[in-house]
Amino acid sequence: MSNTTSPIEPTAGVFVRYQRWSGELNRGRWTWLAIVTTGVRIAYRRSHMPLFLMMGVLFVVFSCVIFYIIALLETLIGTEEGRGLLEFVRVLLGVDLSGVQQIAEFKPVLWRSAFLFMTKAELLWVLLVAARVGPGLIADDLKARALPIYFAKPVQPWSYVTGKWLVIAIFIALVLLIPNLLSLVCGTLLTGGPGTTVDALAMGWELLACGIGVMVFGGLMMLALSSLCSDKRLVVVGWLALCLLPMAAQSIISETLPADRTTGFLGCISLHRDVLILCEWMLDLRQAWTLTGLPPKAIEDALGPAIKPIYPAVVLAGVTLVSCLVCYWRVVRFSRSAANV
Amino acid sequence: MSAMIQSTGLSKRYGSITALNDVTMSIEPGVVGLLGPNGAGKSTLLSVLLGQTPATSGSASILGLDVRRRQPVIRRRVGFVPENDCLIPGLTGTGYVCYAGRLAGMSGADAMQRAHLVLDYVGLGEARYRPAEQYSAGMRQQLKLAQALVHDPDLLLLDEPTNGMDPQGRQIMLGLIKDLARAGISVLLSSHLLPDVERVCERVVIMGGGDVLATGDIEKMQRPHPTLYTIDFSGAGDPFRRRLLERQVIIHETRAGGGDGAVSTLSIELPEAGVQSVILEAARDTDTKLRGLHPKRSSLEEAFMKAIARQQGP
Repeated sequence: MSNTTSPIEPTAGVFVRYQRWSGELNRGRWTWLAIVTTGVRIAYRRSHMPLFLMMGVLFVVFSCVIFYIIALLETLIGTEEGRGLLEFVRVLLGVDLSGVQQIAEFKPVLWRSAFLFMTKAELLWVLLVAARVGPGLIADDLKARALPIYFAKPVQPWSYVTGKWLVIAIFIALVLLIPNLLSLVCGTLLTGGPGTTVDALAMGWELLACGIGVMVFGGLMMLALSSLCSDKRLVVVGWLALCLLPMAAQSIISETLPADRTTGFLGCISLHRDVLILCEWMLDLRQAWTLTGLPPKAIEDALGPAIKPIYPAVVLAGVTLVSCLVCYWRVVRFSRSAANV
Repeated sequence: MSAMIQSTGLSKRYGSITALNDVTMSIEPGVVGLLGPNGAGKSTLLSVLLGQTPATSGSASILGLDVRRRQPVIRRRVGFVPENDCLIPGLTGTGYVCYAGRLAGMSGADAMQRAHLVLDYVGLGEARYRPAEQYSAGMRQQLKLAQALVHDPDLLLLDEPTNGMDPQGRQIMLGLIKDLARAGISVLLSSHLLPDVERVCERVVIMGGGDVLATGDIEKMQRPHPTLYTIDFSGAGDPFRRRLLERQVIIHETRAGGGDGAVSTLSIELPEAGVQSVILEAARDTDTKLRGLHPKRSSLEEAFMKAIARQQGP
């Protein structure tokens, strides 16, 4: 192709001749990447977003403080200061070490409990970050009727969904997965880690799996809600309702029913709790407790009745699958009528 | 010359509603207007051509590529300006066009360079770093044209590109369309503004009720009328008019010029075709100076109205 040389009609405002472009277009396999980078840039520019993300740094700092306290316990156990620290650990992590003389064999338990505690807090922050980033991902495109811009270009529905999902997944990773992995690395470097290097590595993989699980489940659920409505406020209300109402219902059920009756699906109504149960299972917390040599009754007293991971896994997988189908169905539908949207 | 757009028996039905009814047409490259009242099937046709809406039956090709099988290639070679605003919140003009380029398959660097170029071209160079949400209606239309041009398509599908623009903005947009045609880009311009189509298009497709009612060159549609003329003359008007009436010429309208020697205008209808000599004779007999003699041309609007009337029947 060559540049045009034809003179332009002297129309008001038009002073530049159209120039043809001789470059090559790729086959559209990377359009999702353009959607991700642009989406992340737009979301990051939202007001207070850097502050939201700063919380991830605070999580790392706080985790490192906990690991430092655990390391201090090793040297101070049996002393007056040590008793104060043990009380602090009992209140914060729910691990009662009174009467324990050697802390070393409890380190894996303490580290895992610390990560579970942090994950609990991070999940609540994920709730807020997702509510800030996610609602507009598809809803804004619907409201602005911007879909023809995507589907008149070689963008496939799957790459649109993937790109949008990755935007929210990145922000979830920034407040959950990355802080957890950084905490593990910093804690290991500063205090010597949970035990062996193998254990630290295993914990790294477990944290990675937990983080990716939340990214997939939370990201797709938010995306599905965003695709159902063009009003962001309704999406936020829907998101908070889906996350908080089951939590409240779960609390009521746990308070009213005996503990042994809430070990099945009745114990898996809260999505937040389901994620924590699976994280506990992935982090092998019960196994770590078993290795301390404590009797099973003492372990159950410490952790509560065991819920088989299959129940929360089924609930979360079901929600993820439904979200995925809703999202894809909506986007395919929009892509087929983009010119008329 | 191979057809820019071709369709054979193309139909699209939504339940009991027929949006496209057995559309068979062949459009050659150039600037082509797509005219029709609301519900004529224009948007559905664009949607089917872009491969977004599957046709119920029939086949269509665009730039020689089957719309069912070659969607990705078609979308790389076609630029689309939708009717709605389609602005993505949070992006500047440059960001928006660059994003469109990347979605079309350009590398980031190419898309950014090209975004600046096309924004300059459409006249948004000064406003390129402003958030697109702050653009006026006319600027939004220019921005949509820029995003459609960023990957340098061979064919542009424009859906009402001058909607909401002021007269100056319209002039600019139509000037751009003409320049794009000169640069070798074919254009399918869907519009309900007949003067716009008349000004920039070489050919026109008139649609109504999902059917193609008429196609053809605008030049031919605007053929001179055999009996209707406009006469510009100076001199005493009354004797000239009387002489014309004596020759069975019907005078439809008279616009008198002010003062001596001013040019007056008559709109007349000859009794039959090919007898223009009666005008010359009347002028000679009454010592009237003829300044101009123009056969009246059919407007596109007349052709459009005729096509619609034919479809609706007597």
